[in-house]
Amino acid sequence: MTQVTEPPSVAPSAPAPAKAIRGTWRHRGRRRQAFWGYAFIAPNFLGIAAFLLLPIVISLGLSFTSWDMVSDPEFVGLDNYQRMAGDAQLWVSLRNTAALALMSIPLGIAASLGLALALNRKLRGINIFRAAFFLPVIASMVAVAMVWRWVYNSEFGLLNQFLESIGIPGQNWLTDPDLVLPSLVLVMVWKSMGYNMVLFLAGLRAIPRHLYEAAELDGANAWQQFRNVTLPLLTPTMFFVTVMSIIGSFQVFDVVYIMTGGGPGDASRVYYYWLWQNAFEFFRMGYASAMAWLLFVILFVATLIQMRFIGRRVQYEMG
Amino acid sequence: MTISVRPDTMDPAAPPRRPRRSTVSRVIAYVLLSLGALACLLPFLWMLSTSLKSSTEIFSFEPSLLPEALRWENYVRLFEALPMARMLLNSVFVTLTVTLGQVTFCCTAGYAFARLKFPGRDKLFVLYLGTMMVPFMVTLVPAYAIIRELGWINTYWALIVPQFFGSAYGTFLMRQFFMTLPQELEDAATIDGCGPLRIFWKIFLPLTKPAVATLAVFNILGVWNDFLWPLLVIQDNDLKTLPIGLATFQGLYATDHSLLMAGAVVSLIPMLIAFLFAQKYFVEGIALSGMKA
Repeated sequence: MTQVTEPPSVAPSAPAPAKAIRGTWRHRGRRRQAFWGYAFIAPNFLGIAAFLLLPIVISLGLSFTSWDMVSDPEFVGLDNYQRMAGDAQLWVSLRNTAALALMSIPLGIAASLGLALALNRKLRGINIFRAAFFLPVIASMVAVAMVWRWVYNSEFGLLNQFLESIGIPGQNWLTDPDLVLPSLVLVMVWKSMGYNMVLFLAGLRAIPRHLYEAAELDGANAWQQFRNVTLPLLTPTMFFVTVMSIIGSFQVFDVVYIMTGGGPGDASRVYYYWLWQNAFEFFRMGYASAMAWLLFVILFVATLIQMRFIGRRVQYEMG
Repeated sequence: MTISVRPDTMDPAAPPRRPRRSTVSRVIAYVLLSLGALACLLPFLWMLSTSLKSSTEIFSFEPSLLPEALRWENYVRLFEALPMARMLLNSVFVTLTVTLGQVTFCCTAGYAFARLKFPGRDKLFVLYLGTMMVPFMVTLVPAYAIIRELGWINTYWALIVPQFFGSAYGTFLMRQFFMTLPQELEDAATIDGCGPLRIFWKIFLPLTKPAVATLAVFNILGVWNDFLWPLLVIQDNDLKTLPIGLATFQGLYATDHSLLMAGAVVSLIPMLIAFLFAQKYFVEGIALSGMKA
């Protein structure tokens, strides 16, 4: 956690006359500092207060109301929260979201770590490779989703045409309820691979060389070095990537909006999409707010659990 | 924990270990990297190629990555079908404005949190950290209601103002950066009689260029590709940014694949240029975001 380091403060009241002068100077300096401190923070704080803090408070309030954005909000107590328990669509969307997370996170970590390990050496053309992996990261999710929708096209898409050319029958990637989630997972992994690779690369580069030299002297082979040096020292990065990926996968929206619209049926309706529909299609603002808070609790608990079970084993440094 | 950016972390300098094994692992690495690069590039090539094909070529059962003839007229059609040029301009304008504001106000606030003392500072900072844990989804409905109350739906204000004054995350990044600068700099200037404003402007700001570049790049990427919020507050075609413009295209021309892919190509080009010029900052920005762990 962040720790605020205070420089040792000098007591302003000192008996000697020379020090007294310095004392008043310091006193003035302190007031001046406080003035500028507030002045420097003011615009930033006001922006955050108006568009982040205030909405957070309002959202909590709204979650106890029924509101259609036309008439006044009506207080309904815990109704929204009770209704969530019986909302089958909500549980379907939560299950879909969890399925996306469970598939995409291990796959994404394996792919990006693999690439980072391959890149973590002196190679010719390293910048070209890195740029190639990065292209999906800088492209907007909308453009990416459009391209992949076309790649997945069951008749004329690149993927099916390729599969058919090697004798495998093409699939309805986005309209088959069993395939739609894995298809989305592939796009998500493809899009975020380069990003996580850079994180892993930074983690790998931070591992001191001499540890590998020592392991080598002890006769450790490449796998043993990976298992006993690389992996343990990479746990902070792994932890960070996992936490961020979980948070990210619970907020998937763009790709579903563009590629499937939640279909076929509700096979790819994710949590965020269902919340969006409640808010801006059915105008159930109170209910959508309650859904947002349920998500907050889920993510908060998931992060706490990870900190408890994984974070504790994270090795931040080695002597 | 403070961020420490090691200058050597991004350096591809790992002396090869035993020569024999390194040749084998080098070959494996090349194969792995080439496959990965191919997987990353192929959809983009397919996108580019589709954007230059005729419709008979697109709906053919023997597709090729190389179009028969390069039909640039698809791009002309694209700019005629929807106000594409205007959307491009909107995206550039909104991205640059928001980034300018973000960088300015995250810088000043980050500086104040790191180097100035005032009552309530640390409590305020904890509040900032707390907001970083709240998903955007929570603020979605009220933020929309606030913008509607202000009469900003379908205006640039809705796209710019909420992000203009800086984010908690950007402030956090800048604070961590200012914390790493040596105290002596400040002490010397204070003894010379410089006030906080002069110290910030003359001494600290020139040192923040790498951090500012990183924050700027991070922001540009985020704002340029932002989808959900513009989708919500903009309906007017003339005010749409590229991502929601593309989504509109898709709704209108669902089967005109060459047009859609041409749109995707156009939306990609500005970011591609930015990336080629500032690759270092893109990569460092991401590496920096991981240091938070």
